[in-house]
Amino acid sequence: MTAGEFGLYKRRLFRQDVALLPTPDLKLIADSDAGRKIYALEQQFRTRAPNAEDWIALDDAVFDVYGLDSDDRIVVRDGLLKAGWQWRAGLSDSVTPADPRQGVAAYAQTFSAMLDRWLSARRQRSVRAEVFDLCGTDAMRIVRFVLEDGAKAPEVEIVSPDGSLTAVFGRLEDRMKVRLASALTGQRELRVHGRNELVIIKPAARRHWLESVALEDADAVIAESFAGRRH
Amino acid sequence: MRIPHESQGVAGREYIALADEVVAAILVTVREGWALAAIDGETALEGEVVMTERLRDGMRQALTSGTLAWGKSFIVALGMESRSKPDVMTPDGRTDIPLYVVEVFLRHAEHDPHAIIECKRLDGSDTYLCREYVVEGVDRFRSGKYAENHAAGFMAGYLLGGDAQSAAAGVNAYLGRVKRADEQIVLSPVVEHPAFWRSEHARTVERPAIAIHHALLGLTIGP
Repeated sequence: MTAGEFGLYKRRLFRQDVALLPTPDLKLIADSDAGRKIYALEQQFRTRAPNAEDWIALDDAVFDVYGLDSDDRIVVRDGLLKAGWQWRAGLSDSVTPADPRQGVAAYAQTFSAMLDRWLSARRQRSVRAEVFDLCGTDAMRIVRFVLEDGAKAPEVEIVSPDGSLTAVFGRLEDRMKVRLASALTGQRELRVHGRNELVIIKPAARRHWLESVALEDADAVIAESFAGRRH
Repeated sequence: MRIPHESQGVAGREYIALADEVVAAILVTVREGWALAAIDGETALEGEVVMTERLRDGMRQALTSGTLAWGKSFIVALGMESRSKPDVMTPDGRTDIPLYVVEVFLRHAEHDPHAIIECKRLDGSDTYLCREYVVEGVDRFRSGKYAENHAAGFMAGYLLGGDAQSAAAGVNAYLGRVKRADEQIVLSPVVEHPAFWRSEHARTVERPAIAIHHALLGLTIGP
């Protein structure tokens, strides 16, 4: 929403921009739990400077007021993060290698949750993600998603690469019958589809592994699975 | 849902082949929508059209209630005129509940509905309604009038009397009488639930066979 707008293509913030922000009904807010939370935080900030947790609590309360769902919240939070990359202080953050145990794992969790929404209709299969625990200097990050029989909550595992990045590529090439190295020469992001498994390979830079990117990537995979069968 | 694997690109119009999970989501949405519609015997007397509008509203309510994980992925449209093929310039059909899958539209820009639900009243002991269910329902899919570009069609059977088992038996008896026993409806292999059934029909036009998923829905017991 505003986090994605201001700082990205609106470099100046005018009074009129603030006035144009969509605002929920203030009378309704005043009587809501979220409204009371915002008021309490505001009172608290008068006597004590907000810390990181306070800002998160304020964000959550405002999200509640606007009725944002979990996907909306991811998009807003990532919008704010990306806006920070436009300015000198955060300029290099977008190319910082993503940490497999945090950024990539969060990506895998969001991606799996998207697939699980559809799987929940039948409750016969589930998705498990394997995040390869590659080291900070490796140029790529790899996540493998597997569709398994049985209904259970999505799982994200951090798995040892058991060797170098090249060795991981070698094993994937053997199993999935695809030449990854030559494919990656022409294309930096790969989705390799196997029977009931999907491997996503992308550069290590954290901008490729945001949760909002996971929403887009999952949408693309889901849409491909809906249509296009030749008859 | 399937991981797209060894699939071929398709030139021209996209063929909509919904994965089992999407079929299941549609059936569950119909079931939840029907429960919210709470149609009793008195409402049923108002006719099929009213029942269908109540079901449509119920499905919309179910999708926006926050209880269905796929709630933001379906658009339940109004009943609309339809064209069996893109080159038919005078609409030759009128679909009861057309459904759009948001992801399919975003990916393939397909403006025609991605799933069609045909609604019919049904009673296993009423041979006329059983015949109508096939001739004015199933056969619209079989002939390509509806869902010509879909691998699956959907039907909602409003049970005016009896249960789903007897309704299925009534429809199967009719199919048997007209020597179409190989098209009989059986319990759904997609979602295990006594209301959900499935049948498969060779199309009378040059198209692959179409699977029809049936939701056989009983009336709410009145107060």
